[in-house]
Amino acid sequence: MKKLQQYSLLVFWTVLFIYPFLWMLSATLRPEREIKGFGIWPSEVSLYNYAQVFEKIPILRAFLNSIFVALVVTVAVVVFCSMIGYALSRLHFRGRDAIFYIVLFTMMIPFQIILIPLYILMVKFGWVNSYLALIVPWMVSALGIVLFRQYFQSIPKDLLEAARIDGCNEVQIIFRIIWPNSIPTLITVGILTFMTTWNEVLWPLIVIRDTHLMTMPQLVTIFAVGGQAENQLGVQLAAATLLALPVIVAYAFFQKYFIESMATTGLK
Amino acid sequence: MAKVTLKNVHKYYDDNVAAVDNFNAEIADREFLVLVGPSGCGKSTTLRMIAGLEEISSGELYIGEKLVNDIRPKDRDIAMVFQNYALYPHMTVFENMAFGLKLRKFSKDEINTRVQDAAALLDISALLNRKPKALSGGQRQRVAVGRAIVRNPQVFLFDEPLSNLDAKLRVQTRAEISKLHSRLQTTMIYVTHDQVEAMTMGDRIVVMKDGLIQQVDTPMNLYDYPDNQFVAGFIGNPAMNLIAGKIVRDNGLFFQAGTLRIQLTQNQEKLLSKYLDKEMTFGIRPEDIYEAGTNHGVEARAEAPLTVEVVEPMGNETFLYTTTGADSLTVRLRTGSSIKVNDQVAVVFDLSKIHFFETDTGNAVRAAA
Repeated sequence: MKKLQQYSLLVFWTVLFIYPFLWMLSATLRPEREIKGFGIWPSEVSLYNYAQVFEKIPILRAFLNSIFVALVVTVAVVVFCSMIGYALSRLHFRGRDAIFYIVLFTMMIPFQIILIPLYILMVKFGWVNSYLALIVPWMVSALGIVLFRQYFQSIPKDLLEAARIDGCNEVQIIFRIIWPNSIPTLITVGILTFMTTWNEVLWPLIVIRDTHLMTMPQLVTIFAVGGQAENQLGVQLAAATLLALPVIVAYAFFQKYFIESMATTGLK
Repeated sequence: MAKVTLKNVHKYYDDNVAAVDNFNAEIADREFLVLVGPSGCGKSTTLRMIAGLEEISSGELYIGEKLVNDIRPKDRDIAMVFQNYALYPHMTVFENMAFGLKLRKFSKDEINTRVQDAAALLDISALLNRKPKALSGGQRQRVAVGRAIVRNPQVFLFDEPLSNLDAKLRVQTRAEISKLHSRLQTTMIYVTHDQVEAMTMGDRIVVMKDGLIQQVDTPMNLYDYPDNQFVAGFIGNPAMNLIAGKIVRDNGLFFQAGTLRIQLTQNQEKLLSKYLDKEMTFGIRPEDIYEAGTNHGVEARAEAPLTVEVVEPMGNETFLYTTTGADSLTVRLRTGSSIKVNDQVAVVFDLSKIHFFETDTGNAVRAAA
């Protein structure tokens, strides 16, 4: 009986949480006039809204742009932040902890504060309206550094010393010894970075003008609020669904590691 | 194969405390040298400096004829077995053993031969495809040794490799490492805090305390002729009895501590006369004390009455933990005896086996050899 209560409560919360998404999904499959109220069962199913999205905006190109940018940023963050995390946790040099505290401090600064200086920098470099502006500023992340550093501290020192005696240099230690033993953390940082990069709207809006360079969230936002969708909610929602899809797929694939890593980084 | 020479080696940490203070030693080619001492004595730091894992603050380190102070660990031609084995968890036993060879660009065939040979030697051929987490402590230990062997290094370094094994396995592995040494004929430097390991395995032993070498000698010399009170108390189990007292004159010289009064032999009188009325520490090993009245063939003797507090029968021998006045004494009897707790026993000290130490410096007082 108690179990039944527990499960009902869980189901209730799950439905409460997931309902808006289901409603959105169903709205994209319905004709415009039917999108009202809380009902989610469409009387007729059509892909008209999706066809409209593909017709009106270069969404495929934006999708590829987003994938490209998010992948490059993710790989860069995982590689560079693990190297920095290694240095900050395992190498001994003057000012090491000071550097770590500065990194931590940068996490407290809201993005809005560095937005303008960063934009000016992009202008000076001549990177505005190019992939460089979307990628380079995000190739290292403070959160990534902190997560790697914390995890690497739990790796036994002897393991690294054994590798050093076996003939590894520091770079080989990172990639041949530490990486294979840090897979959950690599995946966590990877997913977090991928999602953040994928969902970023504000920054692309500022540095990208050319439609062919736009990322998906940017294009969808402009599409939804910019009048191109002609106020058709179904089409707007279809664009938003397409936007959410890759992140959901990626998460579904890696969630096992993600949860594992969140659990262990909390405990150790 | 190579000798290892340490000249005036120091290690200071940030707070300027000397972890290793003026370490000098020459470890001969093919020697098995053991560094022993209580925790924090600098033995592991010394080993890590030889390995290149710890920088040398000052002094010189030679492997063979080559100065290696600034040479990286991988180029020193050494191999090390760590206390917790430090096997790579993501690699199989084979890969663990082959890793160092792979990095040194050995051919596949050569790697294969070497790993198989080492595995056969250590009896771990059946485990080559397993991951470390599927191995028992003893098996992991062997793999760690195997990883060192395949490299065929000039010097083997062991950092307390047996301390994570249970007592029985430790004794067994101790013998195996000794066998390995005679088989491989390589210089081995072995760190332990366990004086039994040191005594049973080492050709020579370096006893350390607070970063300083206390004595370097063969196991039996350390046991029979400790240079100071620390070495006397550290080597041997149960430890040597050490009793602080005074040299007094009363119709001949006596060592006096509370009610315990021991008349010295003529030779000892000569040696100790200049210490008259000074603080001295008297040392005697538990096995050099005999039950009075038994036939022990001791010529130079002194008797003393003791009160028994604890009796520990071990089967082949019996330990008595006794007191005389404020001092405690451990006595080792070779045979079982009927002595019970609270009994008064009269014992005989074998005066040819006793030691004297200056109480203030701890240094041994003995006739110049």
